[in-house]
Amino acid sequence: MRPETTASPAAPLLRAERLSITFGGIKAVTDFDLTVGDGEIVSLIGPNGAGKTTCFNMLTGFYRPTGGTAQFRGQVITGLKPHAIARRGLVRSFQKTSVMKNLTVFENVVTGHYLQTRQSLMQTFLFEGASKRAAEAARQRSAEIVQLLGLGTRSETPAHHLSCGDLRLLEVGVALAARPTLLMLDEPAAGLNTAEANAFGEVLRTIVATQVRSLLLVEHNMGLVMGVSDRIVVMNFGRKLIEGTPAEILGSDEVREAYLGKGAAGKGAAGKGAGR
Amino acid sequence: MNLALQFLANGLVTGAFYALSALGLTLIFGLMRVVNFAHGEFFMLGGVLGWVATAVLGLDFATAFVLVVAAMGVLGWLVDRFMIERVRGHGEESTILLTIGLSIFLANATLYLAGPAPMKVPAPLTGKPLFLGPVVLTKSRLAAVAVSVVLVLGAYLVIHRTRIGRAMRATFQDAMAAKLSGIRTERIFAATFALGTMLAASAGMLLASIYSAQASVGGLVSLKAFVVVILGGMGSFPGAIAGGLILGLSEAFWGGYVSTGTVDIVGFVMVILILLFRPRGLFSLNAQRA
Amino acid sequence: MTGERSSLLFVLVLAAVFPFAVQNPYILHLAVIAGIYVVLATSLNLIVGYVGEFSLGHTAFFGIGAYAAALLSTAAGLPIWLTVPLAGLLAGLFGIVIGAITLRLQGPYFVIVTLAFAEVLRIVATNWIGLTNGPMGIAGVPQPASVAAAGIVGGKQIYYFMAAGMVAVSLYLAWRLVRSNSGRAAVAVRENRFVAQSIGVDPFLTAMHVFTLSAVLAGFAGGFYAHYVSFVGPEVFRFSFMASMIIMVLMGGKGTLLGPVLGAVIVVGLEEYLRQAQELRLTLFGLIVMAVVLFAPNGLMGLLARRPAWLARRAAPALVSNQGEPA
Repeated sequence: MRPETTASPAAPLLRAERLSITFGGIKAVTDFDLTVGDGEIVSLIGPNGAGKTTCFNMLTGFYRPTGGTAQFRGQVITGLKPHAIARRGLVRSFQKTSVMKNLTVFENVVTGHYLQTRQSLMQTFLFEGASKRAAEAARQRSAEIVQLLGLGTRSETPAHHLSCGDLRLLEVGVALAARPTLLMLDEPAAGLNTAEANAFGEVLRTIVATQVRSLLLVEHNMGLVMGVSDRIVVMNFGRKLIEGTPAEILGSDEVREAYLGKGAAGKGAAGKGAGR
Repeated sequence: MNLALQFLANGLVTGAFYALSALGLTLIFGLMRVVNFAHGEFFMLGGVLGWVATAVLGLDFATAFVLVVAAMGVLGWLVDRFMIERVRGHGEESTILLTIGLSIFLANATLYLAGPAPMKVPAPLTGKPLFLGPVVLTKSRLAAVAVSVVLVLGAYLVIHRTRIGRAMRATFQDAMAAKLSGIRTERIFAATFALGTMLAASAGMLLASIYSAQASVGGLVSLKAFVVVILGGMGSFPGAIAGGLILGLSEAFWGGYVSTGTVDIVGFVMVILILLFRPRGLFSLNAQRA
Repeated sequence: MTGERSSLLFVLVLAAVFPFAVQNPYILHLAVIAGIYVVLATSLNLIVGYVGEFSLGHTAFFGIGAYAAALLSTAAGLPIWLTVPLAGLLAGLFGIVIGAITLRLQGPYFVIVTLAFAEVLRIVATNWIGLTNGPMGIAGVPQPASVAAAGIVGGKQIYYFMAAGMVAVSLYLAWRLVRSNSGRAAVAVRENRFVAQSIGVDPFLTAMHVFTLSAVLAGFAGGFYAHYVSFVGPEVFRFSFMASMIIMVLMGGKGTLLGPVLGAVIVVGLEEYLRQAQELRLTLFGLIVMAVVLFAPNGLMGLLARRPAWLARRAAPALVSNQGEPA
């Protein structure tokens, strides 16, 4: 099912070139370039309304860019539907907490294994064998993921009874279940208190070490971002401001101005609302 | 040629009635985002109550009209406060199911109490039909068209030129902000629903004086109103008028030249095509405004 | 969940001994009608409970099935064991076409466009006299020879087992689909369309699978109905069938397999009890629909599965955890 063209070591996993989108004449994102290499952890930061979530939505097919292209593992993905992009291994979470709230934690993660347990109509109605084995494997892996996230005791809890912190973990669990090549998390620590955010950071590090090689992160929690990222891209007003290592970014005047100067007041709504 | 002119005139009259019948539906949808599947039953109740007030109680048309419309406004208010209020914010499905239940209830309760026979509301205007060249029209139809125009304009002015209208528009743009600035939003929701109900009922009573009221007519009225509203774009007043005229004219010509038995199919086929190709209605620009 | 599975099996066993315990043709007749409605309710529930959209035009597939079986048996002389499956297949083909059009829409638009399709079919059935005999309908849809030979009770028993077979096949197909990956994907779409897409689910294709099976089942029910009442007219598209289906699914509990079965049996009983007063019956149905939406959104299954809704702390929209069965 998946394209088996392994990218050459030099080519990045994800390459976006001059991505642009306008909403009703307003430029939300302009000429945005981004690369994520294999095994790399990249964070996308910037003030509210800078266009980070809009970029996520363009990369994952929820918005269609008005200009530019994105390639994943050497293949153009702009113009594909969201599910088609997910099937290529680019899996995302959402800024607004999004899980299947009437299902239990375990059921949520099992459902996340959709791509591993797909079956033909013949299998659905007549011969169960092969799909039963796939389903069993999915259940086992789901149990592992639930343990890994520290949700073991709440495995049978319906998602709408979870605390905010557990919900954010569950979201990551559902995304992990889809076995991403590149995992994109949109503000996964939003709404968490400091202790929860620290715990989340720990889980994120474990995940990166054991479950998924490459990560693209949008996050406001600077401790988390600085702690995990190989490279950071800063956006403001729909454009890339600067990119570099965490140390370079911390020392940058432009970043300080974007966050503390007039840019901090720019609360445009362009980047919001995609989750709904 | 003369026949075509007569079809044109009939189509325009029917079209004006269709537009009127759809007003309440498009108002409630445009402002509240509630799809009211009981709309046709509110229309029907307007006609049946109008018949009770005129033919049974012997009131004159104007008094009866005011009483019926007021009573239906109260009904709409109660429906919103005691039912729709409870599922507000639970997504579309709950209100759709709720109003489907309400429509089944109202239609059959009326059928049970009043029976299936047509109930004619005495027309306020009678007299010889008018001959405009080759075209024949009755006075009551022309009067009803005039009242339709007045009602459409009136509803438009209420929403765009009065304080309550402003509060309505504010509430439906951002209920939280409206609440914070002192608007009692739950009353606004109820008032809007009541206004939509009153529009449906006045259309029902008016048309019952030309045709007749019938307990089982609600489903068909709802369907036609949906056709009109989808043609013109959900929530748009000018769209409802245009949609009504388009439907009225297409039906008149289809019935005149192709076949009378299949007239109703015209609207449904249009709806299917429009939802497929222009889901925001033929005049999408208008659909943005309430 | 094994609870639902074993209760389904229990119902089936009970159904198998029923006609020998009860020799009363009137009761058997009610059981046959209940069987037809169980299939219809299961079919509508696939759309309402698993696609998560509300169809008001489900009589379209019931009607297509009924006309298909009537025409295939009267004009082409095919026996019932061929006409009913063919009726299902034909309804399924229509399901593919109608689904491909309607499933692009959501919410109220879906409701209205499905209703429009059912109305178009009703008008076609009334006016295409060459095919359907118009408002006169098709009379004399033949009974199987075995029924004619078996006398009153025997004939009802044969019909009963046919209906039971149809119910078993329908429930089995629905059960397999719901438990399958497609069923889980449908639940994912219903719960959260965006998350579903981000884990690789194609919402449209998933909905098409469920919608098509739903059409097939309604076609079975229509085909069998045609033979059982031996007459098919444009009334098969009428709204009161639709109202019955809605209330069965809602009252029993949408999104569970057992709920609509329960709902169908109860509603058929209720309909029979109030047979003399159709208006009163439907008045009551309307009230029940409203009450279910307001007070028990998951129907009887919701009440059975958890503590009563009025004891729940919050007005959580749904408390049923067995609806997805992603197990």
